[in-house]
Parts: sequence; C-alpha cells; structure tokens
Amino acid sequence: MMIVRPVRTSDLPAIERMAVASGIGVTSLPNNRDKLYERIRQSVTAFEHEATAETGTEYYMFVLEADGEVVGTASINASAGFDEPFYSYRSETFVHASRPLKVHNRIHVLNMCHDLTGMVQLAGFYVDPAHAARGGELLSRARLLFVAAERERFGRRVIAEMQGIHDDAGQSPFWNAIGRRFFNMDFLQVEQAFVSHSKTFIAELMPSYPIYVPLLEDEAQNAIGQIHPAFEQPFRLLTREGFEADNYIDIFDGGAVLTAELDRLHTLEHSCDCPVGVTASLPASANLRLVSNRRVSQFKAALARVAVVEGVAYINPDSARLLDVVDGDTLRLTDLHDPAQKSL
Amino acid sequence: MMIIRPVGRKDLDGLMNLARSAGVGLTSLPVNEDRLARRISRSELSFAGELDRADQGYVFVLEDSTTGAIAGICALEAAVGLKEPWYNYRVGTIVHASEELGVYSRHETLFLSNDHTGYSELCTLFLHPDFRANRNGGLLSKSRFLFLAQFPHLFGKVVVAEMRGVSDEQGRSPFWEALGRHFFSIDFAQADYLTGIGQKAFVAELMPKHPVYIDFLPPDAQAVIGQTHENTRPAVAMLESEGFRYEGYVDIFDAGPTVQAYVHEVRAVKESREVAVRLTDPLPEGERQCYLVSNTALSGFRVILVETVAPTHEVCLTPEQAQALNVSEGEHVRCVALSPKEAS
Repeated sequence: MMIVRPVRTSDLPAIERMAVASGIGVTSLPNNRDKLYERIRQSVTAFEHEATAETGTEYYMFVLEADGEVVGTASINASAGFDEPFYSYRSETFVHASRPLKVHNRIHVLNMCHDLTGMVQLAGFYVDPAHAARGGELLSRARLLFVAAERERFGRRVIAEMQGIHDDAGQSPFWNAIGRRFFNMDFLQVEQAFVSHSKTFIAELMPSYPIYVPLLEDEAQNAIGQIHPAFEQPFRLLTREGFEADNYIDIFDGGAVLTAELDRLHTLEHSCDCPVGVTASLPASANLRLVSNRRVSQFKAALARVAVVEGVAYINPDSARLLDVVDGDTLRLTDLHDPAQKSL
Repeated sequence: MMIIRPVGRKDLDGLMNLARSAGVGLTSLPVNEDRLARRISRSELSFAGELDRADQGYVFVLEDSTTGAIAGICALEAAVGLKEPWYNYRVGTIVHASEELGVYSRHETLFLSNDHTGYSELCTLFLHPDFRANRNGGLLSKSRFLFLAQFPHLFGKVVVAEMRGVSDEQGRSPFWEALGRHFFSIDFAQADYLTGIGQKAFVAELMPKHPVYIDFLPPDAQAVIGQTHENTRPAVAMLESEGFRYEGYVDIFDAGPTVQAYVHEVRAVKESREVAVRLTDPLPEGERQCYLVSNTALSGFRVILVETVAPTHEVCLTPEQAQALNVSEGEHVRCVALSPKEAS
C-alpha cells in the first residue's frame, strides 16, 4: 500500500538516503544532513500553522510511503526564493532589422530576471526507481490535491524546475559555456556550494547582462531548455497538469523551468470534495482514483478504488484506514492521468 | 617638390587614378566619380566655412609640383557622430568575486558606445605606391597636425584614428565571423564596403546593443580584439610616437583599435611654432633636420617638407620653398620637426 503524507523528523535517514541517490542536479535534494533536517523542521512548522499566500515563506515536504517504508519525496515551496530574489534566464527574441539594408534577423537572447520570485514552486521530487511507475503520479499530484484543499496558502502562479542536461561525470554543457567562465568551478563543485550558500547568493555571481545565444557553442545552445532523462517522468506528469516549458530556464544548467497558472492545473480544475461512505462491498463501478483527506498536518493521499454514488464517495475500510477517514468525513478526489493504472 | 594642399574640383581625375591604384581595400576611397566629386565638394565648402560642424570634412592632396600628379590623399573629419551615431565597442572589465566562495574572476566585455561623438578623426590616408619614398608618408600623414595646430577652433578636443583590424588574404575577419555575422548575414567585405560608403550607422544598428562577454567568443576572435592589421602597424607606430594611445575602443566590425589623443597633446601640435620666414639661397650650413612647414592660410593651406637648420625665431627657406607655400620674407609659417627627437 502506498501513501503520501507530510514529512516527520523521524524520516531524516530515509530522506538522506534519497538525497544521495538523487545525485547531481541543482534541483535535487541537498546532500547535507543539517540542511535536510532544517528543511524537515520548516515543513513540520508549515503543516502545523495557519498560513496565507501573503506570508508565503512556508516549505511543505511530503513523503511517499510504500508498505511503511519511505521511498519518495516531493515539496512545495510557497514562495520561490523565499525572501531573496529567485534568478532565472528568460528566453527572449530580439529582432535586428534594417529596412534600407533588407536585413531581418531574429536573435535568441537569455536575459537574467527575477520574474519568478515569490511564485509557488514545486521542488525536491524524487521517487526510488522501483516505485516510480506506481508512485510517481501519486506523489507528484498529491501535492496538488493539498494545494487544491488549502488554496488560500498559495499564490496565483506556480513553477517547477526541471533538471538540465549533464553527463554521468557531472559535466553540464550549459554550465561549461556560461557559469564555469565566471566561477572556475565545475558543476559538481557548484552543487556543493549550494549546500552552504543560497542559490541566490551564487546567482549573483553569474553574468547579469543578456547572453546572445548564437555566440554560445552548439552543445550549450542545444542544452537550453532541455530536460535530463531522469526528469522525464516528472516532466510528463507536470505537462499533463498543464505546465508549460517556454520562456524560462535555470541559470546554472539551462534546464527548463515550467510555469503554470495554479487554478488552471488539471488537478485543481478536475478534483472535488465528496462526503465519504465506507463500505466493505464496493459497487462494480468503483475505479482507481487519486484521493486525499482534508486534514493539514495529518494530510494523507493515496490511490484508492472509489465509487461515487449520488455525490457520496464510497471506499473500502482498508482505504479508509489508510486515509485516516471515517463515514461522513470529506475526501478530495480526482481521476488518474494514466488510464492503464485505473485497473490496477 | 611635394606639396600638401586642400583638394579642389580639378583634382577629380587625379583622385580617380589614385583610387584605382588603391584597389578595393580602401573603402573610403572608392573608384566612383560621383562619390569622389561629392567628397571634394564637401571639402571645398568646409574650407569656405559654409558647412555646419557636423558636416565639415577637410580633404588634402599631396601634389608633385613638377608633374602636377596627385600622389596621395589624407583627410580630417571635424566632428564625428553629430549627424548619425558613431559607434565603437569599448572593452570594459567586470569582476565577479565572492570572498566567501573563493571566487574571483575578471571578464572583459564589449560595450557598444558613442563615446567619441564630437571628436575629430584622422581618415582616408593613401599614398600612391610610386611615391612611397623620401618621407612622403610622414609629410602626408603629419601635415594634418599642423592644420589642427593652426585651426584648433574647427576641431574637437580629441582626435581619433581607426586602425584596420586583423583579416586574412581573403578579407575574412575572425572577429566579424564570431560576432557580426550572427547578427547580420553578410560578409565582412560587404559590411566594410557599406561602412566605406557611409552606411556604417545602418549596419551598427543591427549589431548587439547589450554588452558582449568576450569569454563567449572563440579564441581566434578574442585574440584580435584591439589588434591592428599587419599592413597598418607602421601607421599605428607613427601615431603612437606622436602621442596617440589605444584606450580600449575598437571597431565594431573587425575589432581594430581606435587610437586617440587630445589635440593639444599631439607631439607635432604641441611642439609646432609660428616663426617668420627668412629667404636664403642656398640654405645655411649646419646640422640639418627635416621640418614640416605650413603657411597659416585656411583655404590656401600648404605644407611642405624642408631639410634645414633648426628654426629659431625665424626659419630659413629657399625662394622656391617660399613660393610653394605662397609666403614671402617676414611672413609667418608654422613648423615642427618631422619626427620626435630620438631619446638620447
């Protein structure tokens, strides 16, 4: 049985193990116990307190549990950059045109910006490969069920950074073409620097003038907006939610930064609250859906067979126990993206 | 005798011959009768005081008085950039540093600038190959300094000279290939031609307006920034010996250096003196040296090269020399040693 719930301090060893396993990448978990513990503490506090979109510095961390073992994690940052500017490159087009010379050139330019500062940010996504197929969608979208239920805690727009291209040795062509020239550090060393310094602190050392893309090596140009193979699943999930990769990229590895309107996301538009009916004999119409309870610090989300009959969501006692709900409580539910899973 | 004098309408054929011997390399001296005629006319109007500062351009020719042949041309623009923008790249430095991260890196950047607006320019220097002897080159080039010294009110406080940048036998400029070509899908030779015919501002408006990090250019392009074409090195050496300096301004197309000096600090301006003419034939015995001698007339301006004893409050000229300058005994001329004193 798989369940998504808020992280607890006792999850630290499991989170640490995943931080090591998730490897290289500016969007991955910091491979540092103190930092991870700090994140968990922040998350516990966030789940325990009331918050509004205006307060905005909460960090919510979820874990995916499979048969009692923590096998995945995902987070929501209520405000990208917290109280510091959040840096990204915006892809822009300059048209260099001259009527008398009959020239019309479109030039791709990367312009450093703070546009995404303060937006809701989906971050820290990792699932053990053995559980990715079944747990990936549950973990990724459980966050969005939480957002749907606790909408007042979050702002209007949401972003998600996708890890960019790098090879097994940690060489990132985008970093080598841009950041490296300003840091004399390879990508792995910068990763380490993120542990001790905020991303903002490091971003402020990056070139601040627009970068003319045609001047970059082909390898670096080709890496712009590309997504690391390991992020294909999260990318696919978010794309189906309605996230778009168009204008923004990470300043370090050139990976796409996806953006969306929170209220336009599939899970927010196509989920609803229903009263719960617990029954040992589910009608034949029951199918697998993504469900969550309506608690905050005791938030639970799972895949469960649900039959909606006259506005009541019927689930079996096992699912009720898993979700910590009883007859008459409220459930939030949504269909699965992947129809193949419905028959599981 | 070789005489420098303002260009006149009657010199059109002579200039056409000169242009033919220059070939395609000298874009400011095109084999084009209309354009040469316009240039002559603009110069005549400038000498006559009938043009605004923005339009004034003074063109001089070197004439062999025995045959009447036009042996060379040189010119002064009174003030660049007053009608259409005058562009350079300024090579600037940006330091990215963080003591905390142990990062310190210096970056050279190219800033598009109009800093030289209103400055005067030495331009269009060409000496026919048959006359490249007997210090004719020095006479042709430096005669302009006596004009600047005599009529400072016609010019800016700083005088600049654009030196040809590095290109190969095929006219391929590594800097243009690395930068300009991306923004402007034509060859350097064509860009150079457009510049020659006064379309430089059009072309410049297609070039990147934001600072360009030199780090992003390939090594062969980086290497030629501020470097002079092999054939132009003697000209740079001459200007440097007169006090001109490279101050980090380069051409936006081929990155050749622009050298510059305050007019009053140019050696041949600063050391030139007005003295009275004394007619003698032959010239007195004694240690002789080469002097540039000009009269003090504007539209009847003349310069010749005289090998004579050091002038005191007066300079000894032969009647023939005085006649070439249109001066008589007791009248004032301006003179200066052709070359700076050798350091002893």
